[in-house]
Amino acid sequence: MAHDTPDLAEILRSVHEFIRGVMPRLSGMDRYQALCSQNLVEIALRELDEWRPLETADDERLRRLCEVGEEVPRETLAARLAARIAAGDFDGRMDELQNELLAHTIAKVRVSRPAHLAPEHRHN
Amino acid sequence: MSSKTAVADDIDVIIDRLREAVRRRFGATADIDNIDVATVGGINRTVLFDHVDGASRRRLVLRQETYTTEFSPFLPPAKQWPLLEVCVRHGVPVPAPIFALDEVDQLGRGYVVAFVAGETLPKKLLTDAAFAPARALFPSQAAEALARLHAIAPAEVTLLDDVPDSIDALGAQREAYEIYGQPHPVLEYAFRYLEQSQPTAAPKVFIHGDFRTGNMLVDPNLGLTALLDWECSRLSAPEDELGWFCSRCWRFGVMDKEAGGFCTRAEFIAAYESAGGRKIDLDALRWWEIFAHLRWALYNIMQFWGHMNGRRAPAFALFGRNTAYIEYDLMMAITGRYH
Repeated sequence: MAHDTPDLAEILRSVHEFIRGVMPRLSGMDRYQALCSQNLVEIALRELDEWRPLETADDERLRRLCEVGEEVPRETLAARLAARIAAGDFDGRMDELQNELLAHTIAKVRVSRPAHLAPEHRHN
Repeated sequence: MSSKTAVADDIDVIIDRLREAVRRRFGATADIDNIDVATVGGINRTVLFDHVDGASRRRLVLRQETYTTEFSPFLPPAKQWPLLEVCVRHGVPVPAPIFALDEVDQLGRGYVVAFVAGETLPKKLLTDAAFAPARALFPSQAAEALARLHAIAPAEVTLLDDVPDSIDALGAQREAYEIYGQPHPVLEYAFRYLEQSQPTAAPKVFIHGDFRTGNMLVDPNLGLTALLDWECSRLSAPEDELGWFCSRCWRFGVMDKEAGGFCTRAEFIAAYESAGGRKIDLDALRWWEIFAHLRWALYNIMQFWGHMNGRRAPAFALFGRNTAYIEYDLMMAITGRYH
């Protein structure tokens, strides 16, 4: 079922525009918190626009590393992998894991702060 | 799950109580004016004021802890205070301690120090033309301040002996990570990597613990005037201090000057050693730089944990999502892509 308009992206853009509008009248801590709020809304917009394909690829990566299939809920994958690393399951092949974990962080940073990535990691 | 105290944030109440606190120490004719609430940081409030008495006037700073939890990794103000006195005795540039708050003050935990002029904003320090003279002076001044600090006998700061970070730096991070209860594969990897490549243990020294661009006062012409923010102080390796300062977390866009955006890592090490600092082990320094990313990621998780446990603000929510880019830098450093 589709909701009435505005859709989620339009809701977020409306909030973002409002924050931008009041920004010139703010100073000190209020201005700082408003900038952070703007940043949070931008993260939400990118998550909405770009996360789906990144998430699919990242789930596939984490399932492979955890050696589990679709039966395991995606929300538990990061915790499972963390537990495997802590248990020493990857000792002796830590190097292999490096690029997988780098790819895992790239997926997250594409949403949270894409401008922070090195140029070669900004686009597929 | 957490017991936390928030200090009164009605600024008029704080000012009245501060005036009383000053009168209790300096007499009934003392007063305060010219009050400026500088910042409310993650865990501290800074209030600048003049202590006036007849014709005399001096600028002071109240540093007040605004948020306390049982899981705080930070030194309580009562432990920071004696460290400032030790630093003054040894010529390490810090704001001179004036008095510590007590219960009668009803201002929570904190202390009052002398005002020191200077700028903290990293962008200004690193790029503003007015600070060019300070940038030229800074590396040797900072290196000398650290060399002096690290030369202080640990016996003078025994109050740091039981700080978890002094006992086992990596173990202390693990303890914090477990408390926040947010599993991160990359941080587990960092723990494992660091456990398996620990540098040889060397005698520990008194370190500032959060020595980085932004935590020091710099005058445009005089350069470094004071080291601030002593709540992370501990006993550790000199490479811990230099590794934190040189890690990618603190370059503020000036990436080719690894030492806080001021100069190269090699230049800073040379300045530190020639100021009398211990010889820096480059492998240990790299280990501590990786450790710095882990520590910084955990601080960010902690701030978000605070957001979920009563101290809510957009900035603290954002900290939760900052963790990803720190993990990215951490993996780029471990894989040798970043230096």
